[in-house]
Amino acid sequence: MLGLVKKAHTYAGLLTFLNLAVYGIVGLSASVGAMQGDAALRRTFEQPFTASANSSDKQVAESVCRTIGLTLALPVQSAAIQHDADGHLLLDLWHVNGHHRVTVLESEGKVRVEEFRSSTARYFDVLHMTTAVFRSGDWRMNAWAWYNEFAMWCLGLMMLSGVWIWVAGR
Amino acid sequence: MYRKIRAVHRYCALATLPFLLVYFVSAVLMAHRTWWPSTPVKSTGRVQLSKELADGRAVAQELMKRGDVDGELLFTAAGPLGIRCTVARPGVSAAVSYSPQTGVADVVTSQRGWSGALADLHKTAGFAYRYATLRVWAMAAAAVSAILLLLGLSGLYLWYRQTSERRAGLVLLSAASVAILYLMISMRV
Repeated sequence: MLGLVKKAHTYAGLLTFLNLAVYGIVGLSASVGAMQGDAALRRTFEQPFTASANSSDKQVAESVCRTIGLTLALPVQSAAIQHDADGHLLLDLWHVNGHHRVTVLESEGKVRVEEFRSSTARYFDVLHMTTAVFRSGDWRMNAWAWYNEFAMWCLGLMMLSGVWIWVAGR
Repeated sequence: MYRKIRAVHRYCALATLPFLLVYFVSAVLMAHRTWWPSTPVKSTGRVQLSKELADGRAVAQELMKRGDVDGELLFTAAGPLGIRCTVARPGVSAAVSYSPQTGVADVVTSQRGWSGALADLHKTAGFAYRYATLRVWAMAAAAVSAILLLLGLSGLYLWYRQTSERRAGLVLLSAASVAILYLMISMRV
């Protein structure tokens, strides 16, 4: 039995070594205040975009995300959909790397995008708190969420098996 | 060398076990809130304080001296309706509205039980806390984070020295690392 417990302890650690490293880095980053501060404006760009006729604001928002390659911001929450003073659709799309503020200029057939990028520390912070209950429109984030959920339970398993090994070895 | 590293791994793990347990339990609670639904218990009270207190910090200090609230001053704001501030400790927060003209402070206390306390501890980090419990916990959190990295590295060494587990372990470590690094890098670039 002890051999099996040792094996489980070792394999759980090997499978989730990088996740545990992320947890440690996030803890240290939070301790030194590396996560404070807003995401910085990285760039502003425009891209051609035509919304389908009779689309709802939410459908347009999701279409915009796919057009500009921002699947990490899917699904778009209702709170992210607004209109500016000129009546243009204004999207505040939050995701693991920060957020994109998108103005849909339908009459001009384009979108204007402001890209705000968070720090690497903040990126790791979001990753460490993303678990299986999170649903994303991007398969990579869903895969990460499930793996991180697995890592969280592995941490519990390693504590339990570690105590077992210690007690058995005394 | 092997014995020394094994001792470091074992005793660091044992020393941080209570903290890691708090992080593990609170992580599960926060990730799966629907498994243990909880509603904060709120209570309200009215307290007479000195008039014309200067700011939220002064209001919080007087309330703390009286024993009406306890914890860290998290938020303070002043406006035409008076001064507002929030004082919190793990699991308990008090939202205070104070009128400088009358000296009356309305206190709404929200108690979120042990699950709320664990969640608050999980999020406690940094060295700027004035509330002693949070300051001590935050220092411990920094140490635990560093030790977690040490546990990972020492664990790698201990595994590598076990020749019987080397091949299978290498397959698991490589597969997991390639997959995780691909996800982390491809989502960031």
